[in-house]
This record gives sequence, C-alpha cells and structure tokens, in this order.
Amino acid sequence: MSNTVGTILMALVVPVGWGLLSAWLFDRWQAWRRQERMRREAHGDEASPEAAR
Amino acid sequence: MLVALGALGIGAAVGVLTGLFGVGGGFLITPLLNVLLGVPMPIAVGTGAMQILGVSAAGLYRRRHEGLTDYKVAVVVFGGNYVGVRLGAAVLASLGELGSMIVNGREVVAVDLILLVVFSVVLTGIALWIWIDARRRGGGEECEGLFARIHCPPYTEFPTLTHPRLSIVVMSYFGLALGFLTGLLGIGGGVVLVPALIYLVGMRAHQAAATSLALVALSSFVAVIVHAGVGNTDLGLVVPLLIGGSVGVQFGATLCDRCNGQQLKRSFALVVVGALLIVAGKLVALVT
Repeated sequence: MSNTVGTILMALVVPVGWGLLSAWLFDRWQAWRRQERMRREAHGDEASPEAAR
Repeated sequence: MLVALGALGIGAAVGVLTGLFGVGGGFLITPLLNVLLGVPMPIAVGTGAMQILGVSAAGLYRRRHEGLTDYKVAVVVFGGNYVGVRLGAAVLASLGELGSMIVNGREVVAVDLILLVVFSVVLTGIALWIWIDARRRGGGEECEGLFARIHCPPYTEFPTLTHPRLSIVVMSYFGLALGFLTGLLGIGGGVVLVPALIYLVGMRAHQAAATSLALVALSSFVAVIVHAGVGNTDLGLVVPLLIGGSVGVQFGATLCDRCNGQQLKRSFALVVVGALLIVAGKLVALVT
C-alpha cells in the first residue's frame, strides 16, 4: 500500500520538480553563455585596430 | 544463427524506414521480433530499446551542427519521461507475473496478448492520425500547439517555438506519458513524438524531427538501464539489428530525397498499417 502511494507521489512530484529545476538551470546557463559571448566580443573590439582608432 | 540472420534482416528493413521517414523504428522492431522471430515480448521490448538508443544517438551526432534541436524541451520533458519509463517497465513486469490465461479454449501468455492488443490500438491511432493529416495538409507547415492554449502555471519560455510560453506542468506530464509508452512497449516514441511535438508543442516539422531524436535518445537510455537491470535485453540480437540498421538507413535516406512530404506521410501510414496487420495476424493466431 505504502509502495503504491510512494509510486503515485513520485509520478506526480518528480516530473514537475525536475521540469521547474531544469528550466531554471537551463535559463541560467543560457544567460551565462550570452554574457560570456558579450564579454568576449567586448574584449575583441577593444583589441581590434578599429576600436583603437 | 537463424535468429541472428532474421534480426539482421529486420534491422536492415527498419533501417530503410528510419532513413526514409526519420523515425527510430521501435514501433516495428518490438512486434516484429516477437511475431517473426518468436522472441518473448519482454525481451523484445528491452532489445528494441537498445536498438533505438543506438539509432537515435547516431542520428543526434549526425545532426549536431544543424542547430534545429531544442535541448530545453528535451531537458524539461526528461524528468517526466524518466518516471514514465520506470512506471511502464513496472507495469510490464507485473503483466509478466500474470502467467498464462485461457482465451477461446487455448492457453495464451497473458503479457504477449495484452501488449499485442495495446500495440494494435497504438498503431491504429498513429495510422489514422498520419493519414488524416496527410489528406488535410500538404507539408507539415507551422501550427499553434495545443499546449499553448492550456493555462496551468508555472510557465517557462521556449524561445524557438512559435508560441514560446508553455506550462512546465503540462510539459512534464507530457514526458510522463511518452516515457510510459517507452517503458511498456519498447517504442522510443519517435513515431508518436514527432506528430506530438508538431501538434501539441507547436514545433516546425524539421525542428520536431531533430528534437525528437534528443528525447528518444534520453528516454531509451533510461529504458535500456531499467530493462537491462531486470534481464530484458539480448546483446546477440542487438548487434545484428544495429548492423542491418546502419546499412539500411543509408539506402532509406537516398530514397527519401526522391519523395515529397505528402508522399512520405502517406507511405508511412501504409507502413504502420502493414505493421498493424502483422500484429493483428499474430493476435488472431493466438486466440483462434
């Protein structure tokens, strides 16, 4: 009986919990990648001769 | 030896279909292994999952530079998928404990009978879905997904979709349903997943095909671990299936270039009907 209740709870909670956590982590990761790209571009611009001029 | 040759043939034939239609072929492999080679249904399910893992991982690797795969959808759905696979495999194990039953005066293995019935229902549904869609629409152009109309917070954004704001709860239980099919029937879900991603999630056809590969690879990976853990896999069958499949898929891809979208959809519906007839034939033979 407790096994069945545990399985039902797992089926209800784990998917949504994972969905929330993974969506949040995925968004964080993409934001970090975007920031890194912008930072690299900014550094690249400073190093280019056009930016120096 | 004969069984290995049969598996090689089935792998090649399904490989052609994979190259032609872009599906993993699990919906064919599992019933064909059971009906043509006499492999017990639980072993056919686990072995089918192993074959799908190989095919989908290879497909994902080949498409890695196309930029069509929406990994966020695959990752968010994966939690539900994992639980679904475990539930499906648990139900399969419970069915296996039923032993045999008497139908029409004949002793029949209960799990084989029940899974063949479920397969018949799923294959009929898929065939009807594809056939009606091919008659209604030409290509597989964009459509608003059904999930975009369901309002159940919390939400998250999937930037590659036409309607990017979708409910996490809906997406999670969508994964659960797909995983259940994978665990119970050994189908990777590509045949169900591609239309589901188009009509329910609202993806473009090519994006759905690419994303389904990522999801199928993840869910079949879980299915392989779960089924291997209970001894439902047969490496002697998987190797010829994969060898045959890798040859067949090249031939199928060449054929694919010569067909248009509507021809492909209708031919695919016919293939599903063919598989349905084989399964129905086995069902009739079992109970009469």
